[in-house]
Amino acid sequence: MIVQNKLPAEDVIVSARDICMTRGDNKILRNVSMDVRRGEVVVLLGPSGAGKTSFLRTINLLNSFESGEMFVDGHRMGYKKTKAGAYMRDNHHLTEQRRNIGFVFQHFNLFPHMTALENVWHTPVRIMKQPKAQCVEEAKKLLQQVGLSEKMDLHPRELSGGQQQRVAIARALAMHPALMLFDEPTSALDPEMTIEVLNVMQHLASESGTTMIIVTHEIEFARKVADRIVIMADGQIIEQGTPEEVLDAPNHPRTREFLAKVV
Amino acid sequence: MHFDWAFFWQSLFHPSGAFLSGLGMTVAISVVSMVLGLVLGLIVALMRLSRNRALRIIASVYVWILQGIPLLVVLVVIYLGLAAANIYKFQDTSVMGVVLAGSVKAAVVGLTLNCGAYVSEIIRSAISAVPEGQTEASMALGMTGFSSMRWIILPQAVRTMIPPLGNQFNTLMKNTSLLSIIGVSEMFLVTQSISSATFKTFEIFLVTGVYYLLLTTVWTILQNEIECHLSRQLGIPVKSMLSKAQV
Repeated sequence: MIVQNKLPAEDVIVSARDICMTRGDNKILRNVSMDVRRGEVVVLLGPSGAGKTSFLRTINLLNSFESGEMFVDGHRMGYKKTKAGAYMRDNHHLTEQRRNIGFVFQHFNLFPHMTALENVWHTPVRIMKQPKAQCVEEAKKLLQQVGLSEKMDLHPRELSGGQQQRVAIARALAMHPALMLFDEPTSALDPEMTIEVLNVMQHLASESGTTMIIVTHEIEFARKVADRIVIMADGQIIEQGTPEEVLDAPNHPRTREFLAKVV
Repeated sequence: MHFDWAFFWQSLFHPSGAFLSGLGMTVAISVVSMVLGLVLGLIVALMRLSRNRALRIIASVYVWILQGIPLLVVLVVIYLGLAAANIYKFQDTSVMGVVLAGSVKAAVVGLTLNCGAYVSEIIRSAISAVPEGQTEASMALGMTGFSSMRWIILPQAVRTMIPPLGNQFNTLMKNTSLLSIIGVSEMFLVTQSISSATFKTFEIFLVTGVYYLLLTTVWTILQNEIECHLSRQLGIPVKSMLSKAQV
């Protein structure tokens, strides 16, 4: 398939255009379009089944979609541009593109056969072939930043859920991604563990200026960290704006209904 | 009942050179066939899990045939059948002064083909048992399918597959007794010739039984050590049979 298209503007890191995703007879995403600027923190909210996670997973093509285009950092995901300017499907290129995007899963998905420290340095060393000593040092620093310097040599099964999720964040950061995606990072955690993970994420948002797209159900957290809140329902974006606009003065009746249920 | 205890103990504790060389042959063929069977099994398992339909079909047909035909028949077809039909004859060859009998080569081929079929199913199910999230996490980190398999999926699958693979090796060692039918001088064939020379069938076959039991027992202990080692890698505290014995 050859498609030509205008590139997104320089300061736009994620540009989703008319993403449609169908599974069987279900329309999961209906023409979702969204631009995310560099350094922006976007929180996706909405009732379950709204397509928030599905949309997040289309950004790094963990989910495939039937139509639409996804641009990350000026490049179309899963495609390589030929000299003539046409886009050609390229899976190898997709693998490289994904290295620029950190993804944090609801169920952490740490590698159980490695210690926390190994989980963090493994990909930079084994896949990116960067010098090991340097990567290990950096991995230690990252684990220190997420408050786990004492737990570095433990295996995932010896860590609490909150600790595992913080290792998973450090693992994603070790790749120096231009963009971090969080898929319900605290949904599988107890309340006290939720706080430690949210603190790490908040620190990341305020200190490092990393672009973040977060799917969560933590409304108060969203209010604190988000530059923009996007409300989804039935596979569509129904409303978006600053936390004050969306949370305090929602326009769409579905948004009001959703907020009334969760707050 | 007549039981020659003296002959029994003699054969058990001071086995003849012929018997020991038979034992050596049994172990050597088992180890070589298992190693080759593991390589073949891994390839077939990856073929069955591949996205290429042709590869999947070839692998399934191979497993279907080799699991459905008795090993004895496979051995006879490979060694005697192919030769009789003038298709291929396993020749004796001499490697650095050591003669390698054609029957031994045929035996290794037959056992490898048989073992590979079972091993591939063990490996395939172990790979399938690794949670989908592991593949997703490695893909999200930017690993290729190969890297993900090499660094993430296989190391985890190995732990699940060790117990059934160990059983497979035990089965393979016991199955080498079938090689006597194509004239490989392994432990069973040597026992048969001792038996027909001495007429002490009961005694000598009991001795052979003890030796097979010894082989499978030693292997079971080794296998347990490997499992313990792999569990420790996952941070699971375990006590091994051997270290318990030392306490």
